[in-house]
Amino acid sequence: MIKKQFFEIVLVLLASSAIFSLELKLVLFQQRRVNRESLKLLNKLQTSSIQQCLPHRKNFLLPQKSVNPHQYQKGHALAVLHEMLQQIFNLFRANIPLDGWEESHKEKFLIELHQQLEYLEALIGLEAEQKSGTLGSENLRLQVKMYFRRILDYLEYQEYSSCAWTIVQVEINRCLLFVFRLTGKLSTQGMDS
Amino acid sequence: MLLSQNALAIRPLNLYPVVFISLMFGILHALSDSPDESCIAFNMTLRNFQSILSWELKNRSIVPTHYTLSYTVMSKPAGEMVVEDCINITRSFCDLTDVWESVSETYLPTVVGFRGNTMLVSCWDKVFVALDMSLEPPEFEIVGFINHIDVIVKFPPVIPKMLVGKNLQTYLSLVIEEKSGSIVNLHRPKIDGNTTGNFTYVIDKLIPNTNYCVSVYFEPKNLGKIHRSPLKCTRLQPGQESESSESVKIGGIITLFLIAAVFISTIITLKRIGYICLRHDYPKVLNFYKLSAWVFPELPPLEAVAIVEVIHINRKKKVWDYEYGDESDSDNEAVPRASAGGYTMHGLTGLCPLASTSSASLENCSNPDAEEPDLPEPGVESEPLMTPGPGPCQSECTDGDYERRGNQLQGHFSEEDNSSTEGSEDRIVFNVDLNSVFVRVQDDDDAEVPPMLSCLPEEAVDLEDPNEMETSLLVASGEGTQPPFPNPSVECLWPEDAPSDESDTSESDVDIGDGYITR
Repeated sequence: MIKKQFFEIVLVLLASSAIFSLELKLVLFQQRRVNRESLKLLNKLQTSSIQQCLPHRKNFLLPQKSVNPHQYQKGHALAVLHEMLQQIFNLFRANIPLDGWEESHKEKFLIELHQQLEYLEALIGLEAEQKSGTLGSENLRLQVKMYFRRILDYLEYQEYSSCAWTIVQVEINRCLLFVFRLTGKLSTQGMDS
Repeated sequence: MLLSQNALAIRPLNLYPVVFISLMFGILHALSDSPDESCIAFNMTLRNFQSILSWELKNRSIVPTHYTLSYTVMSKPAGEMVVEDCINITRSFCDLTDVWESVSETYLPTVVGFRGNTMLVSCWDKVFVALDMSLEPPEFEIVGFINHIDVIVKFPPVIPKMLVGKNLQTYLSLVIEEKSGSIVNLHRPKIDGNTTGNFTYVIDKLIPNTNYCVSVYFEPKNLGKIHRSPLKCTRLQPGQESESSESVKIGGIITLFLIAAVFISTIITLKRIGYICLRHDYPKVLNFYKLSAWVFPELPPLEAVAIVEVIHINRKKKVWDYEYGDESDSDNEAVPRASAGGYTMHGLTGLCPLASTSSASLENCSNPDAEEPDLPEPGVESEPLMTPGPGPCQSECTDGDYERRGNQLQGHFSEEDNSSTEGSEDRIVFNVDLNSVFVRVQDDDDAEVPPMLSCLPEEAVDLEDPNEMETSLLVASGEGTQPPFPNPSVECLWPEDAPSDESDTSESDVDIGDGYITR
């Protein structure tokens, strides 16, 4: 009886790993497309003269070193990726008027993020069945959450001014490029495994 | 009147300073305040793995003689930083390799144009490296061979900090485009931040004597335009490849010719030796159809023989006392037991030694004191003593000789088996070489006629020996006889009936009557 159950568990793991491998490749392919579209749409946001906003610059302490994509496992990278996209989606979904950004561009930006989040959630659910590593993932997720908390606090402090949004736009560009590196790392790991 | 005239004169005079001040204020404001971000256009390129920032003033009427470049970043509050290598430069570009180290950073460069000591213009703009940096194709060379092309891409000895490590393959990939006519193939060799010096990539499996063009470029993985390099073309070498192909063809033709010649010669040889012929009957040795028979040769068919039951007769060895009386041993003789074929060992054995020993036996017929003939060993079953087909009872030896021979044989056999001849279960089967004997061709009519045997070779008998003749006569008359053949119907011609001169058993004396060969 135990042998039969063990055999079934092994089969499920093998099948899920195969499915996960295929799913990961598809998700990463989609992620690269989302990254390009997000950058393009975000940079269509017309901001005030950036020279005027130089006094409003702030270092939000993007946790690049602590969440270095080259240092942790595939499961942790997926968790960080998912948390970052989730926070970016939440940031721009809020009913905060953004002058200079066309509504169509904003909607398309949010739709791309939402679809990618769904793919990632399905993939993370499959990954969670294989192995448990939630403790390390939660720590990394917390760091990402704290980073975006700082951004939101800044916006509130600056009363969501034009210069504040200009500064935030520049910071989100850095986030998306961090997501680029993370996606590249996952692609490399997926090809090697 | 005068006041009105004075008022009219005063108004223009009051305006002039206002205008002048305003103009001066505006100029000063323009100079002291942040430079106009729109007066300049920056262009950042990655040229031979060097970050080059070039600029062009939008107002072409303003032509400074010298430029000074400075920059700041947007990710953190930082001051203006002047690029040391780009102070009072006459060129309109600056190498920022290892100055700008982050691809994800947004930089704000500022260019101040001077003419002499006069500042003419100060312009700035933002540069987001990941999106705004264009990738120029690398320098490369191609070397064409017969069926492949070596593409040598020149990498710098040191990769810029912004692309070192995994960043290079994260943001860009190297693409080698191979064109031949309308066919385009893309090759994506793997590179990383550790790739330095001359990087060689081989495009193989090409068609010789064909023109190929190669283009190399970097493909940005984020956004950005692709800038292809100018095509470099080469025509692959044709000579050796075609010659080798021709030599291969010639070799193939020669090989085929040799195979055909060998095949034809084999056919001719087989035909000559008779394996291949028009007839269907070919030598049995070449009959491979019966492979089993070839591998396991069949034993020669046994000659038709009849089994003779050997009857052992135990009797004393009688010493011949040179008496020619009745030497009938009928009292001492046991009734020879008739075999199924009607033959007995008695007499018959004297008649039927083996061919190999027949001569010796016959010699011993004439010399009764001779030693026992070289009889076959009883254990030699390979040459069993058998009576073949029918044969005449006639022999060149007398009955006495037969007796002696029989005695010898019986004695010989009695040595091995002293069982009584009566009801003896022992049977000795012996073979007789029919070539040395006369056999009877058993007809259906003569089925009852027991087979007879004359196993005495002709050459071994000396019928002119009067002793033998007399002995045989006496035996024949004395015994009256008990012929070796129990069938009274046997007709035999005794030697008395045959002229002694005709001892030679010539074939002319052979008379086949009733199936017997007589002499």
